[in-house]
Amino acid sequence: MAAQETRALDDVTSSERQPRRLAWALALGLMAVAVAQLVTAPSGGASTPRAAILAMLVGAGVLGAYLLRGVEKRRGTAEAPRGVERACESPHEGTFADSAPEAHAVFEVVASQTPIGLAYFDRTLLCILVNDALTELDGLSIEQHRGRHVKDILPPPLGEAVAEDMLRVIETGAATNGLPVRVESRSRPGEMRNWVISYCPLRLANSEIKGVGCTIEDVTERLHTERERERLVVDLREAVRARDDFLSIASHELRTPLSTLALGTQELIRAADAGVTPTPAQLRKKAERLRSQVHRLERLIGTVLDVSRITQGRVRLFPEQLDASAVVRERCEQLRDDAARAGSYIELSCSEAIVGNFDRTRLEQIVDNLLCNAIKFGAGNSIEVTLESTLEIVRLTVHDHGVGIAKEDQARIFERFERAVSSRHYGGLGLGLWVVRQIVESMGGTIFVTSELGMGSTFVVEWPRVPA
Amino acid sequence: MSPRVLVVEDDDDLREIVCEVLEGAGYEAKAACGGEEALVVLEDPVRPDVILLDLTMPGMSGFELRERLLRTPELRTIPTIVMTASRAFDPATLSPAGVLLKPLDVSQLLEAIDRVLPGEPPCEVSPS
Repeated sequence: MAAQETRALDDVTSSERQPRRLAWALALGLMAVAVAQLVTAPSGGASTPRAAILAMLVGAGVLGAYLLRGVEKRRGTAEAPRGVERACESPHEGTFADSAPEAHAVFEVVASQTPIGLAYFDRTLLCILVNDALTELDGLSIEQHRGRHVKDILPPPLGEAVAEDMLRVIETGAATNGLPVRVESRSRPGEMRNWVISYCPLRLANSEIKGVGCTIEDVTERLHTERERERLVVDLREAVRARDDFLSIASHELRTPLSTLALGTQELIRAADAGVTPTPAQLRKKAERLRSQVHRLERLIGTVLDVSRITQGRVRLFPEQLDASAVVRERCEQLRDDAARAGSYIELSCSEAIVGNFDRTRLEQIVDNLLCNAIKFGAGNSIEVTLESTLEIVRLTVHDHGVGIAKEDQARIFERFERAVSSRHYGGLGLGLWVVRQIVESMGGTIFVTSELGMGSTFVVEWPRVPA
Repeated sequence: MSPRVLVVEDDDDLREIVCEVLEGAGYEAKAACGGEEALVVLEDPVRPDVILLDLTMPGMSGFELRERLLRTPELRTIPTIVMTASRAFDPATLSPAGVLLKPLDVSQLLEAIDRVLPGEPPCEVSPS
């Protein structure tokens, strides 16, 4: 190893041989001139011996100074690690070339402070040096690295793969960057980590490849962050798309009752302009129609506002002591006309009072949304509503005999903007069941559906009966 | 004889008021609450002069009815005006004679019908 290092030193300093020869020639020349002058000088002359002695001293001085510098340089470079050898070849040669200890210190600082694992292996793939970051990465001490073969350091099959890569770098002399590997290191047992390994050959001035340097970076967290960012971008795009769809659907839904209101009021104005006075019955019919559209708009706007509140996690309940049966009965009566228009009849079964602490508005919303859903998709058939209770829970069941829901669609109908039918056939915001689910869950309850395509659907809502 | 208009709209209130507006303007209005019912009405040999067609309807939608009309030689020539709330509707898909965007307006409604009917518009009837 010492012989190799001496050869390496010779290689490194070979470029200095030419000036050294010149220095030797100059010193020897001066000394030869001085000796010749002393030999040939006439006796009794004073100036010539003094000049000859001066020339000899200058030559000896040049020679001595050069020899001393050569010894110092040889000693310093021979003790320097390989990293320093490489540092001397760097563009900062002027800074370090004359100070091997300083270069070594810089190397130590850089190697110890970098978060990237560093290692150097010789041609036989024995580990020569590692830094602290690598010991943290692979869970082995510096001693457990040094002098061991790479296959003994890394677990199989990673060890074999890395050894193969290193040999290829040594053979070809070409660096390879950023090879991704997945590894379960000793520092984090039971956890697969993502490393990126790069290899670089250590080439000396004579082109001989002495070994291979490695950088190992643990990119697990970075990958996780990148994946999280990608997921957020996808979610954000989806949210923007859903918002655009919702705005489109909401504006569509709002325009139909607005049409009736616009035409209805214009008709009244035309009648007034023409001096026509409708009978009280005609006037009532027209006013009822307009009021119905106003209620429809109210419900739509209420749903839109609810979506905004619910999305921000603000389903607030204001429970009060009331009879749930009375609320359900009242809502069924309210929607009886709507059902009749669709050809459906609402059959209610809730004989006894179910008194508890309930939020009246939210309970009404649940009944309204489920009933409107049954009227819309009930195909003009009867709708059965049942309210029952035990000491612990209240159960509301709404059963229709309409178009039904395919098995594969039954889970997603409770999602926002989802519908099991084509939007070419059925209007609506696609929010009713989602709103019901959000309310029911905020009450600590559940909602589920059983259905078969073409055979109708049964929605069951259960929530805790908080004792009054 | 009053021009005949078939109104195909699933929303009861809107369908009723459109018919009232048309009758007040001197048209003879017939109503259908969906595509299937419209086809039944169209079996009558006395065909409408124009069809007002909503697109989003349960059962046979306005899209499907229009496609059916276009495939039926004796019905394809009846001018059809589409009523839609969608700003994304592409008229090229159904080749309608006109498009009315909701919310509807009485003047626009009557102008759209007059535009596709030959001859003079009918005499206005005083609204009740």
